Amino acid sequence: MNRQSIRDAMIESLAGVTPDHPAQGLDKGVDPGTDRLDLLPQAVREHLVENEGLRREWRQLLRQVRAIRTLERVPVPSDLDGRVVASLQAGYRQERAIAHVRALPPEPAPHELDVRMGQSAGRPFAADGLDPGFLKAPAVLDRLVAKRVSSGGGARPQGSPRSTRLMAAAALLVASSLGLMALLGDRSSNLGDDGLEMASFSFRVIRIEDPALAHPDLVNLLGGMSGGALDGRGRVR
Amino acid sequence: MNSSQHVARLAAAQGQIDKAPSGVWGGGRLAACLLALAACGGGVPAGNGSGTDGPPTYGSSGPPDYFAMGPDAPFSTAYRGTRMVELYYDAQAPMVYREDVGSDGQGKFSVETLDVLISSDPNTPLFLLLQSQRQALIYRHRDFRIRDLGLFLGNYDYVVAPNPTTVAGVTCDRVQVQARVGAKSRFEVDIDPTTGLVLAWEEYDLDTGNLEARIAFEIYTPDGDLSDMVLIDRVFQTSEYGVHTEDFKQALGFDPLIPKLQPGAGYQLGVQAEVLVVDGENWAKLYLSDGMATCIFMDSVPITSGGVGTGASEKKGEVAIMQVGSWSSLRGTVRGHEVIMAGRVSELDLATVLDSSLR
Repeated sequence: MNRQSIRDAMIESLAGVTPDHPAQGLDKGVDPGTDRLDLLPQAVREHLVENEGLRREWRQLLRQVRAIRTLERVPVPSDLDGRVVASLQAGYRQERAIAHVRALPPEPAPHELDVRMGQSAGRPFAADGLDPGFLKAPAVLDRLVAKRVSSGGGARPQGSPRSTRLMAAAALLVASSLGLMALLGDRSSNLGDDGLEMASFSFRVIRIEDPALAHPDLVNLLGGMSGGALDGRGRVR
Repeated sequence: MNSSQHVARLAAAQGQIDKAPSGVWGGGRLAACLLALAACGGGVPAGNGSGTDGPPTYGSSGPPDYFAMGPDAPFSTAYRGTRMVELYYDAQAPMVYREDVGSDGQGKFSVETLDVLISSDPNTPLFLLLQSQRQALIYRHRDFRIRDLGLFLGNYDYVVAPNPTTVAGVTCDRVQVQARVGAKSRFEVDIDPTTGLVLAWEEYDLDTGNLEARIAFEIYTPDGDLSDMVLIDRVFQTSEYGVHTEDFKQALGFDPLIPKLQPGAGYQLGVQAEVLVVDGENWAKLYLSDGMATCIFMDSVPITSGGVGTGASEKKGEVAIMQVGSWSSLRGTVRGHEVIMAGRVSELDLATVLDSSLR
């Protein structure tokens, strides 16, 4: 048997290990009662009797399996269902919002907007007495959005005169272009000081605050490189 | 070095030192540092400093000889010992444990956690098991080490204290280290000058002065008996290639993501990359380093994804990111690539590096 097949056989034989089998005397040579060589096929056992290195590996496997089997079964967190549902709903809500925005028909900007843009070009928002308040969307937009949401969709707000729709589109354009910096600033302050969410990455970034909710790869790589700095918190809460 | 440069650097060093709280840098120590700085020329470029073109040059004394041994010391020094590991990166959950560590001096090593002294997680058996599985990461990446001498000298200021220290019976040089640009921590490192091995190091947060980590040998035996240790070197089947070679791509079976931006000032992409085979899948493993800190960048194209940038994977432009103290890691799927990153850098830095590899 080569070393790999011996290892495979050792791993297959671990099924018989229980949490309470004796752990003492591991460093005192072969002890069938401790090393549980009886779990191994005869051919493998003979190799282990002659090879201290293999015995060490076997003992280490035993220790690891014992450690695993001493762990209590961890119940699924009671709020997991809620978190999953909340996460999915949040995702759909965002997609719905994007779909609504994309469904808006193109509207030409009014001439007045060009004039205002030209006036403010090259001037800092807060300089020269320029009132940043004009960047805010008018109250009518709130009403239109509320109406649109309550009506459940449709490409256009129903029953509104064209001039109102035009005003809403223009206001949206102003708010979304000139007010972009302020908007991102607000998001950043809500999401932490590093502004991860506001950066224009080509992928979505989700910050994990609790290691218990992170993918094992994430925890293990960080845990390994930092020497287990994460594990002080506990794995699952 | 002309006198004006010397004075400027001393003033800068004093400015940095003055930011630390008293008690960490006492007056005597401050004087000692400056004395050492002046006497040893430690870490003070004679010509080009940071922010200028070309590598820094040093005075006649130059950096200590044992700095050059730093990158290989943990692998080329045969020893066995016991270390106390104190990690306070997560202020709410400190972790203190002891570990049994040894190296055969031929590239193989073992680092086994012995017992946990402080932890808010009562599940010690699981922690010990995890630590056992992470030995290679811990041994290679956790501890302060000069990993690339040229980059280290270009990116870090250091001061060799005039008085040696003793760690586990070994007389060491104490070296105080701090990044030249964007430093968030400073390090106090005790190095065995005969081997270049770091026998103790401490990391302090520059803003708060708080101790973030302390790792020190309690027992150190050169050429110690390793017969009861299971030594390892690699966990996965690994082969090395030049990052920009065709051989690398062929070995992987896909075009790897190559970062174009670095996670911090002074970082460089390592010229050698690795191909790891994990559960039958090839992973590209790249290293970015500033000479001391390392950032790992791994990516793979899952066999089931149907290729790069196709199908459902294309929609999964999403990564999860996590930070503890000065460490961060990232995992996700972008353009059909599974990506894993980690390092002693910020979350934003990791995301920036990943983003640059997609452009």
